[in-house]
Amino acid sequence: MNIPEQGVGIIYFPGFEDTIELNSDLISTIEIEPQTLWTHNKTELSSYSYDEDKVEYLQALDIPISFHGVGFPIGGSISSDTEHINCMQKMIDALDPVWLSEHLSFNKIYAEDAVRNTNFLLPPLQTMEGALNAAEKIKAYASHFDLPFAFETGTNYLQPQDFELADGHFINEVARNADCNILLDIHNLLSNQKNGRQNIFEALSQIDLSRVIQIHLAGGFYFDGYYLDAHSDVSSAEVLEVFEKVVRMLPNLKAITFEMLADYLPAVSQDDLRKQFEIMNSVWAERGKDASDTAAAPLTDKSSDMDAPRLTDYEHELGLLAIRKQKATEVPSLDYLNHDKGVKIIQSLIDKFRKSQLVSFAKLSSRYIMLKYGEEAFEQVFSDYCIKNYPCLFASDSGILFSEYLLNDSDLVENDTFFKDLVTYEYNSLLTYMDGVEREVNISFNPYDIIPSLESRELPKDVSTGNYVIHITPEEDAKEKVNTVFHS
Amino acid sequence: MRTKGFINKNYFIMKISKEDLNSRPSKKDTAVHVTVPAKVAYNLDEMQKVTSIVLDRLNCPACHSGFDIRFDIEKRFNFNEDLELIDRPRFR
Repeated sequence: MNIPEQGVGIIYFPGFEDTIELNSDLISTIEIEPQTLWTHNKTELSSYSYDEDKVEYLQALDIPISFHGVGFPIGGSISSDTEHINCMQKMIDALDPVWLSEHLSFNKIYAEDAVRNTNFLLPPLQTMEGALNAAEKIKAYASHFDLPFAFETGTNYLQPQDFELADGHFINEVARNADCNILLDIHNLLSNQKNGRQNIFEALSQIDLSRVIQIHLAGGFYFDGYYLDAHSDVSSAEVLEVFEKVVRMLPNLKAITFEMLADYLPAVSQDDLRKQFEIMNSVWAERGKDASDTAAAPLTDKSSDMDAPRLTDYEHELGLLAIRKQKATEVPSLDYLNHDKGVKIIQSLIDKFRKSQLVSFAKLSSRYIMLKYGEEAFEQVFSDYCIKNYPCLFASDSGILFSEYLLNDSDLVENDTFFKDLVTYEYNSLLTYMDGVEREVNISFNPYDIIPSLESRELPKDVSTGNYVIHITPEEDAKEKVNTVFHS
Repeated sequence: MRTKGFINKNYFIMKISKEDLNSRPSKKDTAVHVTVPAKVAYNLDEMQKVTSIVLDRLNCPACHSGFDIRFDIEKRFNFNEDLELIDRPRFR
């Protein structure tokens, strides 16, 4: 497929509207992560719908858009569920993206007779078996859509192993066997290099650079000795120096995209963001100027001579370790995972992610636990919740699951009737927000009497108790969301 | 029945009294009926941009391999550096 040049862009998240408007002279393309704008509706036929307001905003921008999928990576052995394809296609019809990309990672494992999510993009097994598997998954996934497809080179916090293909060779083998494009994430590759994996330029020497159509650029920071692909800031001078060299090496580059999470916007000035886009535009003008016809360095495959783990074993064991469902692996060929500090880093990041989901979507309950019983009690509740429940891909599902856990499995609720009512109210609020169905709950207080206290981070005092019937109503936008469910 | 004012610019509905919110004693029993939009339980923190758009984060997580800072923000505002509970939020 002929792919038009897009130039400099940014990944859009809610909160970036001002940044996009203020830099409209420097931003010529927008990338979106479609599933961050989706709702997972637990209806009779479980299905997805997208935020129509956000799509209207993106349409009104009237600049080219590309899609960067999250949630359904193509690097694992478990195929993506096809349930989401309809929603993706509807969004493609609405926004007419120039291409679609996904991650060369995996986030699903089989455990306890079901597919489980890991809440984290885990690195694929870097063997020929892993490369051929990823290529097969890419072909299958891309066949659903009439769009050019690229996979993103991922972050890998694990140490390299003798049985592995080198990072560059692995990327190249996946692209060659899938015959697809590459989204080169410079920040990911540089993070890998800083954390003990292959030098980024050595990796590039092993890749057919004519397949690279897009670059991702970001900022990060160190955590416990590891450099994180945190998307927390504008790019450092070191990242930009590498970026400039790489852009000049790429003969077929179509877009360079800056990615930062909206969480960090309060800490980054608009002046710094504008400078980021100015630099990206000046470097964009240099694209391909140092491109050469040199072929990618030949593959050295050592995996057949080594005791390489099997793909399914690797995913299962790493996945269970990452979400703390097991303390150690007993598979001999994967013993290195028991000693790799990168596994602990991944565990910490997943913990933070899951806790953040809970304090966001079981906000009243979480805050009450911390205020009344202390942080240690919250940690104990969180640990027990994680032992009994797997992570969920969608945060809404996590909020619902945590409330159900509190109501059914937590001693705190059993011994604190006020807390039980609080969880009941919050649980039903989330259900109503998600499905648009009005609910009625009988509790001992008026929520309007206790929310101001919790907002001020105080335990509610002098609350009038009695027999309250709370009618929880959907907001207008919640009703609209339900009407746009696409059943598959 | 009167209730003290609850002023928060995020929630226009909270600027009005309980009576205006369909708060009414039932004829059948002594229960007090209150109507509350589902969203009210989630928009607590107008001062934090991160959490003020909390309901935009109910979906799939974004692409990154880093830190989700929302728990640390919540913890920081609940406890001081010695993990002692603070009486009131310092940003107020």
